[in-house]
Amino acid sequence: MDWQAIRLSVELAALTAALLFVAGLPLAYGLATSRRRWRFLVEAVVALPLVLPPTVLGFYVLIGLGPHSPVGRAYESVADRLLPFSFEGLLVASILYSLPFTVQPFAAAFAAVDPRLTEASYCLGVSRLRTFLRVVLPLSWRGVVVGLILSFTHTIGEFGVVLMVGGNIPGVTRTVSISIYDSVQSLDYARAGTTSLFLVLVSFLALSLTYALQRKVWSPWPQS
Amino acid sequence: MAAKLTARVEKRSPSGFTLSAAFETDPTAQVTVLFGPSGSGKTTVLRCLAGLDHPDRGAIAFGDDTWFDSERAIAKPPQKRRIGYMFQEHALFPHLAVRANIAYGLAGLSRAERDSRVADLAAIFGIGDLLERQPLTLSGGERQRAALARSLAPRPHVLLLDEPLASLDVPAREHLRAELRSLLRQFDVAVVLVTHDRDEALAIGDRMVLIAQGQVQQAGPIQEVFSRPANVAVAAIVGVETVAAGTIRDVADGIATVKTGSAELAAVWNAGASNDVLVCIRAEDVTVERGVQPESSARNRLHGRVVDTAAIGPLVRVTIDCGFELTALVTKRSCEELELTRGAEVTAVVKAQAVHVIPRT
Repeated sequence: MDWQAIRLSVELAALTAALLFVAGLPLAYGLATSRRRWRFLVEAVVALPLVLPPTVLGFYVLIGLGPHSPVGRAYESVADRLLPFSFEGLLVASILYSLPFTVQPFAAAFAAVDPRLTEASYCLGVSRLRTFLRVVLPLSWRGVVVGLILSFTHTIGEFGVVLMVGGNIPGVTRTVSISIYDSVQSLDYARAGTTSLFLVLVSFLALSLTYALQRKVWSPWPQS
Repeated sequence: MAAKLTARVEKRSPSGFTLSAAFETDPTAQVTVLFGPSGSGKTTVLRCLAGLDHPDRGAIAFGDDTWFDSERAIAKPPQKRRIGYMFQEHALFPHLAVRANIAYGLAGLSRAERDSRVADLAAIFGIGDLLERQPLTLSGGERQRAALARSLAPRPHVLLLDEPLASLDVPAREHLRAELRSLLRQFDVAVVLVTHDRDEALAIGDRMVLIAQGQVQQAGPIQEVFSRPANVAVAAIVGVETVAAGTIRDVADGIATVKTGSAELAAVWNAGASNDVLVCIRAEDVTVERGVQPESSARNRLHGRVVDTAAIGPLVRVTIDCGFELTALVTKRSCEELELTRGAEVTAVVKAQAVHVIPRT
């Protein structure tokens, strides 16, 4: 098994999930509670990675982060190196690619919270932010956990975007899926097999956890 | 008592329904009832008072504190209005125990103050032994008390109640209806209550604002709105023309003797907490006879004089002073045959089962 690739993938996935947790909560809550007319456009943009081939997304990220783009130049002047074919570039691509897998479960969970509960909280003098922390999050934590698991596993399993943006640099951008592809290319079926099996097991565990949470297997408070 | 709440609310719904209601509360009357049929826009008015919705145009002020003014572009959020709002379904936080629900709006207080405030409210509402329970394990009536305690805990200036009894089953509703008024009396808070239930309005309210088709049809002391409907639409909505204060004198075999004005009425009565009541009689349940007539099976034979008559389509509304003001509805023809003109001596006949008694503590 390619432990270096596994460690890299886990690092990438954990960081992606953590950053999506921070960015996804306000975005998803905004989407779930907004009454604005143009909400559907934001929803469509967030969902784009679901339907686009990873190569298209990867292509734009490559161009967008490259030395000819403002973002790429700014990063280069600060970090003194380029974003593409680096771990950081891969992270940016992963966040974009996993955005719908995080934001959609978050938003669905927030939308399921009875708006009267948040309104009751406002009328008791509690601010929107504190209401979110004291009422909305405690009632939608399952959806939040599901979103985090999905973004984590989805990042572990991504291939096309990594290939486009990260290339195949051992210890830097060579993730599990790339490593399997490499093993097969070099006819090392045994190595490809064990790494694949590892991915299957991790994915199965994550999905079991997701579905168990959705069926409310463990509940800290009584059900109605 | 509290300051005056003035509201002018204009709002158009996406379906084209237009709400245009203006009213004010009377600082000497604690409970103002927004009364009207379903879909009349009264809940929207309440949500605008709370700041959960905003009018398209209008102004809302409590005393000299402006809550909303479309012309000056003022729209205070609910957090800044010092209100309590109770939803029809009570909206207790399901993940918090009753104690934490009641203390929810008290984050600014010290722990000791918070605990004593919760204990005081629990004592008033009789829920001291429910404090550690989860809301989903409570009965409807218990939830209602907990929700009321929660909304009163931060000492709001105005308490807004949206059909507070509607989600309860009938026994719990009747029990709480009789109790709610005296519970609210213990707090220095102006109350605005939305309901479409006549008995609820009469049992709890002091002042009534009647809303129908998105407009205020009549406002005034609650008995006056019932007794002197401003127009036919109001009369149809309130449905009861005579509402008079009374005192239970005596109960025997399920029939109470109620002193009403200078008259005594017999009424069907199945026990209540108080002796102070409101007596309600529908005008069509009153039969009018000329002069002083002998006994019949009807329990209530009230002698009096006609003080007013008013034609309503094919019918005539006859107001009789028989120790209290009683309204009867007769056909034009009967009115002519009986010569029911002002000053005429008549006997009004009402069956005991047509006298509806509402306890009012």
